[in-house]
Amino acid sequence: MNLLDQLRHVFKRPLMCEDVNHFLALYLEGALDPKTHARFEGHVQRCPNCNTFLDQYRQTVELVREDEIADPPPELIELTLAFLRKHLENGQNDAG
Amino acid sequence: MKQPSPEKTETGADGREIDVEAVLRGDHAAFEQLVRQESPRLFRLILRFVRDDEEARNVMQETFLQAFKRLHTFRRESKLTTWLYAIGINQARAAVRKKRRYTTLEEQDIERLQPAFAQGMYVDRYEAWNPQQVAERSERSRLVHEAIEQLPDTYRTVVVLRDLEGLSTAEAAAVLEISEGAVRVRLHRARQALRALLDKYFR
Ligand SMILES: [Zn+2]
Repeated sequence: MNLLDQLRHVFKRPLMCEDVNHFLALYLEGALDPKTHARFEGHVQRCPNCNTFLDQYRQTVELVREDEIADPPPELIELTLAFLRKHLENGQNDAG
Repeated sequence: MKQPSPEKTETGADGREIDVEAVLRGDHAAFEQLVRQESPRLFRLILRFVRDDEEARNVMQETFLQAFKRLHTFRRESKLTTWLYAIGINQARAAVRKKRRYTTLEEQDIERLQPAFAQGMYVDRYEAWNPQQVAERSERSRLVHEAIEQLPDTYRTVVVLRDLEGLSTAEAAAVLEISEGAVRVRLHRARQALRALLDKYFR
């Protein structure tokens, strides 16, 4: 059962913290339908623990996005192209 | 057989167009442009796996060579760049398998780092974070980087593709050859594990 099918079951009973957690990524992406989104928002506003957890989750994603690593040095592209030329020429000679 | 609609061009990692048709014809100039445009992102993806600049260079060169030799196997079921990243990640995995020097968390650790529930409520009470006050920027970056490095490969790749390289769920699914649902579940579990790992530093 995919996430959106599971969501239909959640509609039939009161929303719990566990439901909010289960669909947190979709909720943050704004991928829930407006009615469900409003229902989730209502729970998070009334539930301090969900609110804090959601905030930590959001901060985690933001901190991860800052973890950038450097691009390769520009000469690597030229070295790669030279490597390819060499190997592809050899490859054509070896073939067969 | 269903024919996927062929894309004649696609947008590369740097936002410029890639002439897919020319690349597939084996046009060296078009392939050279692909190398120029995709090297930075491909290098970053590979480096996340092999964790060594020198090795990342070798793996990247081998990836482009394999890609060029295997152009005839590209089935147009995904973007050309997605296909290229998939080759890169597979090459990187193979390189790491040969000499594993880093310990990462296991699946059961990821499970342990997920929040616990009782009767639908969180078992733990969470305290507000304040990373800005707790740690200097450089210290914060180090803690976050180390936490990401600890993730098992299956989780780290999803975090790197989605949260760091900004690929869509569908693109990440195509690169990793898993379903979109699996990408969503892994990303959520990975983020929750990272949250738990960082919690002791940032509250
Ligand atoms: Zn709650």
